Amino acid sequence: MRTNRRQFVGGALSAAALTGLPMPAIAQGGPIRIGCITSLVGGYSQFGEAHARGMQIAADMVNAQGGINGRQIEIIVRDDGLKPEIGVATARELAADGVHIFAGVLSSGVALALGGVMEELGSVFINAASHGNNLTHQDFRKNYFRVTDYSAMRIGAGSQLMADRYPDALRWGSISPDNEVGRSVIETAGHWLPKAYQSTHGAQVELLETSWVKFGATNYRNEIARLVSQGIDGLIVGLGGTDEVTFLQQAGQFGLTRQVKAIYTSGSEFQSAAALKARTPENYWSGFHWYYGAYKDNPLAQELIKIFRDKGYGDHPDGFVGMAHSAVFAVAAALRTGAGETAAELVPALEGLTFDSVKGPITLRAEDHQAICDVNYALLAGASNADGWEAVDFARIDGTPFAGAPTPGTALAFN
Amino acid sequence: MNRAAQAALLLFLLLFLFAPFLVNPGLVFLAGFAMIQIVFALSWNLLFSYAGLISFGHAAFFGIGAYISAVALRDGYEIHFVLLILVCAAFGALAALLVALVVLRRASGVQFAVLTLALSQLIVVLIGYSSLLGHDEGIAAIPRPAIDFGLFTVDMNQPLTSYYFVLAVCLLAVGLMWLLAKGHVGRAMRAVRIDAERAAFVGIDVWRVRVIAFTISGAFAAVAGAMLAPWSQIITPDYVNWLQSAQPLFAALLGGAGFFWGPVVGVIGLSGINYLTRTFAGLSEVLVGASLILVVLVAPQGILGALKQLARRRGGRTPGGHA
Repeated sequence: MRTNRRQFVGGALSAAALTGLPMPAIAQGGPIRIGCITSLVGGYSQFGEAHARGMQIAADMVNAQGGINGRQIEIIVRDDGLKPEIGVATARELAADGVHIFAGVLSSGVALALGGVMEELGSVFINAASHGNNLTHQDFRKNYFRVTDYSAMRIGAGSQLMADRYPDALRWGSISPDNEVGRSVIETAGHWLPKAYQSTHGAQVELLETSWVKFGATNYRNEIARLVSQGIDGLIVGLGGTDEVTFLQQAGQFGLTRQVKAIYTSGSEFQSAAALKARTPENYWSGFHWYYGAYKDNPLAQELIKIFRDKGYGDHPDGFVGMAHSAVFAVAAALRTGAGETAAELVPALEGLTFDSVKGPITLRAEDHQAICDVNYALLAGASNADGWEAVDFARIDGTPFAGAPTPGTALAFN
Repeated sequence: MNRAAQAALLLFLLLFLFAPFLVNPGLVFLAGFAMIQIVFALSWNLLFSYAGLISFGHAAFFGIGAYISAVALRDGYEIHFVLLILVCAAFGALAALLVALVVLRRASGVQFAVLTLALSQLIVVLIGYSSLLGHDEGIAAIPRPAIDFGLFTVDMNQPLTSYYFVLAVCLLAVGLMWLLAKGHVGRAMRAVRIDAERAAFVGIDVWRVRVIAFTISGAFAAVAGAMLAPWSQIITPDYVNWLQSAQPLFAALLGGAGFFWGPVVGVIGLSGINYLTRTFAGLSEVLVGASLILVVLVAPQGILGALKQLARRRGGRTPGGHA
């Protein structure tokens, strides 16, 4: 077999990448490369895979339109193993290879670590999933942007949704992990839920003491017994992911989910309903980074949904697909303004940028780099269809009033 | 140690020395991690291969160093970083001493291992409740210090300077452990490991030797942790949990637990597998697992043990263990 020069150079570059030898930075004429750093192994791999798919679909859509100023977008997917040091090492390696735009990341720890080194690497990191309040407040970093809503917006909007739909639920309990996101959820609910009921119905809401649990817990029986004994009407669930599935399953067994009139969560998207199927609790509102069913009027969303289904990825693209897609669209919009790929040019271009997305227009707030966008919830229930569940209702709420004032470098304060 | 192993170790040293000029910054960053893991793994092996004690909770001492260093750097304490490393070592030693005084009186063998595991997991839980230590998220964006040595300043914000400072501290720690292992203390520890009863008969205070070994081991584990804080700039409870405690065991198993340098070879081997499989999600874990199974079945003495056997067969020198 003969090897031509192009094959040889390609092979040599691949070998160099594999062995860790220094790679030459790719010249400006090549593709615009975006590093998708996410988790592809373990319990969160389905969300990481969604990130990679969302970014690739976005890149394909941009490339099909001729790319950015004639240049194609290339997505380089890497696994961070949910470990900060692997995420940072990957970013350093890719930066040395000329990649200065990063997106994705599921873990807050990896997000914090990456945010901390972006300035040193002259790179930009666009987070598509982590929603702790701290990331755009006390732990704000200049080269960090978040294209999705965050706990303050999600739970604030969810609290208003509960006040609108369940005026009689006046006694609320909560369960949340004792971590940054969990604390953000409870702090936000503590502010917005009483305010929402007061302003909407003139009613006083009673918020009972939170049941704090460890992230990754598998047994919630004590907390469930406590919540049952509290005699609550409504329940705030800050667990997310597989923790939420486990909790809801056990809560169903103990009758807690039948006792309450409403449940709203920080965001497990379709995961709980997909796992629990017919056992999905009634009046269960799941938070979404993006709920595709709420955007039938959005051509971009419809195109993403079609491509997702055509590729055989399933019927229900989740918010991780949608927000990863939005991260690439944010970069594309910034580059179309004439900015270069390095942080020095891209950061100012992203600050205050409003771009079109599957969620409608999103503005990246100039002060703290937080996306100002819709907040999505869907009312999920068990069903006798092929999925075993269905979305019976949804809410698309303007997140602006709940975003709070930008306070980069300072913790979010409710007043 | 045979010549092949000596040559391999010299090659590793040269690779670490010239890494910033040979490989990409991502790999240099991981090389820094590997150096820190080497110190940690050697501190564990000092306990295992020399004193005959197996700890499943050694990450607790690593975590003590890491968190003290992280808090001091984050909160801007006016303390010289070299002094901070020594403070971390002192706290690591003190914690290990207290554990040894309590646990070694009551337990040995498997009970000792399980008790150390329980203690380290207790520390993980306590960190989760501590605001000072950043709860489950840990401490992020740890600033790197500029270390004033009078005649010159080592600014760890410069990647190259930072790398060589980590290398220098790790080499010093490895050197000190080697001297200890080869000296009177090391010999006493080995005597206790080989036959505690006979050791006692010839006048060695077995319990005291074990306590000393545990204390020294805790101090060096804390030094490794102290170096991690400015290098990684993020410390999370993951660095204290059982999986981190298992890393030295894996490294010793792969490299050769009966050799002082075994964990060095093991850490480099594991880091190499992780790095070379980084673009194939999930393959790294499979390969690490397969490598360990292969080593246990084919070369139970690890890579260095296999090299030693090979040298024997070829009629080379027949060095003893712990080379």
